[in-house]
Amino acid sequence: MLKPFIRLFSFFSKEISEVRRQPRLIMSLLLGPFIILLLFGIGYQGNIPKFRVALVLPKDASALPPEMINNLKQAIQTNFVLVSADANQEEALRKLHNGEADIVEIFPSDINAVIQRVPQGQQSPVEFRYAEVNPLNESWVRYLGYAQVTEVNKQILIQIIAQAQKQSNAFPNVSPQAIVSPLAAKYENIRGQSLSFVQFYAPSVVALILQHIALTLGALAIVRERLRGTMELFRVAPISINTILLGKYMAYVFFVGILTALLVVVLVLMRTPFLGNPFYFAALALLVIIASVGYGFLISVVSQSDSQAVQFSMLVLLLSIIFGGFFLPLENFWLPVRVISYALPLTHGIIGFREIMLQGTLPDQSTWISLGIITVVPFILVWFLANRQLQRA
Amino acid sequence: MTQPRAAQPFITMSEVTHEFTKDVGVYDLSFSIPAGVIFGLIGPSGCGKTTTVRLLTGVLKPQRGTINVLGDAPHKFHTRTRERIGYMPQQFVLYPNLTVIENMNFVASLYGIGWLGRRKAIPPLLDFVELRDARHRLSSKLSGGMQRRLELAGSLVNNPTILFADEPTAGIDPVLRAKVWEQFRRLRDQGRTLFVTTQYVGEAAYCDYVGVMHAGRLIHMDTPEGLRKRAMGGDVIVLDVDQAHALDVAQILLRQSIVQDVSRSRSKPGEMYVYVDDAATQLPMLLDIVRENSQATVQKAEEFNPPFDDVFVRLMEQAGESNAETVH
Repeated sequence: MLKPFIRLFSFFSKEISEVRRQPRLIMSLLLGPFIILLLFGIGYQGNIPKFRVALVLPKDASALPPEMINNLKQAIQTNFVLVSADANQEEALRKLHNGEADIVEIFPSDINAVIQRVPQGQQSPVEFRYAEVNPLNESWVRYLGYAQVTEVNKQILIQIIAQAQKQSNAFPNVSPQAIVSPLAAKYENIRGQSLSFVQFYAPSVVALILQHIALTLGALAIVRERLRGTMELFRVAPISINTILLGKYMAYVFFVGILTALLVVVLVLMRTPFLGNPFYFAALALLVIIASVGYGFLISVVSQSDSQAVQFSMLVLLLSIIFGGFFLPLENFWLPVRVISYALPLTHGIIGFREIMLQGTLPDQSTWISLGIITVVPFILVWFLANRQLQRA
Repeated sequence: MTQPRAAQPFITMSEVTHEFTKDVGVYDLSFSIPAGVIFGLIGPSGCGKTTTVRLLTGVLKPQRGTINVLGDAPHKFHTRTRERIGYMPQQFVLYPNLTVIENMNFVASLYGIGWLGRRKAIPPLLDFVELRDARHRLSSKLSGGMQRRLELAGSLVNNPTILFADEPTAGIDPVLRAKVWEQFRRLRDQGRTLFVTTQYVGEAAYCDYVGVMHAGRLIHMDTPEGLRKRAMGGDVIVLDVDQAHALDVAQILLRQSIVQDVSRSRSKPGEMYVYVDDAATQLPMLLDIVRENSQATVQKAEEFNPPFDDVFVRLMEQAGESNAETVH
């Protein structure tokens, strides 16, 4: 009666012993992504890119009040690094071509003409010339340019209103700033304060490491048996594919589960918040691990060699980082492409772990159901393919 | 082809064919093996020995013909039948990252042997294959011969009724090979059946029955003695006479109806090999003939058992000739 259990645990203990004997593999799987992402967390500033700007002032700028020129420079320096500010457009463009500046900002050459166009309801352009290939940076240039022109317009208005107040003596006690900007933004984070990047990305790192280790171990599990010829031994021995798969699932889930627990302890020691229920976290982690091991097994049954299995695992890692919601929000993807995201255990791991750890809430039903589906489907496929391989061992 | 005596057959193959590609596979294999014997399958590399073992263990399903092992068709073996079978594949298939004892525990667990049973069964087996001292060594650190020994121990851990061993002595030194065969004989004496393939043709002498394969076909199946006779065309008597009369004696013997052939040794001028039907009855008759018809002094006269290497070569040559005749 105990025989089925003895057989099941034969795989469990064998797998644990084998994994235990490969500390370098585990360390590289565990520490590799962990260190990279820790460095990212520490090193990534998350700030707006600092563009170097060569400012081209109007030729008759000397006619403008120095205070206005100073305000303009200050407005520019809020978001840009000012490398030069003069009326020499050619020199500024030379800097742009030579890579000494990222943007050339050209103000209308005739400042009086600007003033004259206002009563006619016409605007004068402030030109931003740049040589940018990064679409994200271009968006930033346009956004910051817009913000800056708005700020300059505001400064001009403040100057004009101040002058008008002096001349007409109207609203003498009202500040020109309040007249130009009657509304001011006020911010309050009801959760207290936002997290550091390391803290914010910690649940995602846990999910990524967990998926990567489980998937890689699974990916090597069956292909190695096949290449070694052990499947032939299994074919003759009194065991079924169920015993082989369940034994391996148990071993990997147990092993990766322990690693996850250790990882979470380390993160909590690093002051990463853990606001939610540990039971739900464990349940979610269990599902993510089983699903990841399942994907690993699937890779393993279709791979012809160890190296092919590792290559497939790396491909899934890449796919996960791009489509799993690690850096890029899922909403940014075209809906049909999001199917890839939702087929990845990582996606649900990130969503669920963030909610449980950082917000103290429970992931919604769709997370659990999706994880359930991607746990069961690979298992069925693996069972079918591995059984066929065992019969043909 | 002589079939083993008809006790209850444990293994039966009837007109079994399994072809991988054209002319590569095994063809029309038919034989029965009773319980409690050592059956040795010999043949050159690539002749189909391993395929035959795989068919018998259910790893391969025959494309034609029927196989019966312990009352079951191997590809449909019940769990209980599998528990009675020991299998030693040709390659080392155990785990290099596990120690000797861990590998043994794993194989034993596959057969449902619990902790207590393993504690009882494994140490004597490790003693037998002389790996007890290396029990905590990783398998990757074992020599090729030690790995074969470990695999052999693994195939015996379930105390099988039938052991299928595919080249169990490959890579093992001669002393241990002799021990392995001694253990096989002990297992046979306990009533177990052993199906062993080997490339060491001399090991055929240790078997109760020997099958000779050639190009995917079983060309002979007999006792080792029977095969010897078949290869040599009868029994061989080695006769050593004084050198001066050796030629005379050879000519006299060649004239006798009971003598099929006489060949003289090149290395020893007085020595000759006399081919007869039955050495036991015809040796005294030959001695009388020599004594009556020549002055020669007989220094040695005894039945000669040619080494199995020679027997095998002869059988292969005969098979080659037979094939050539078939083609013509």
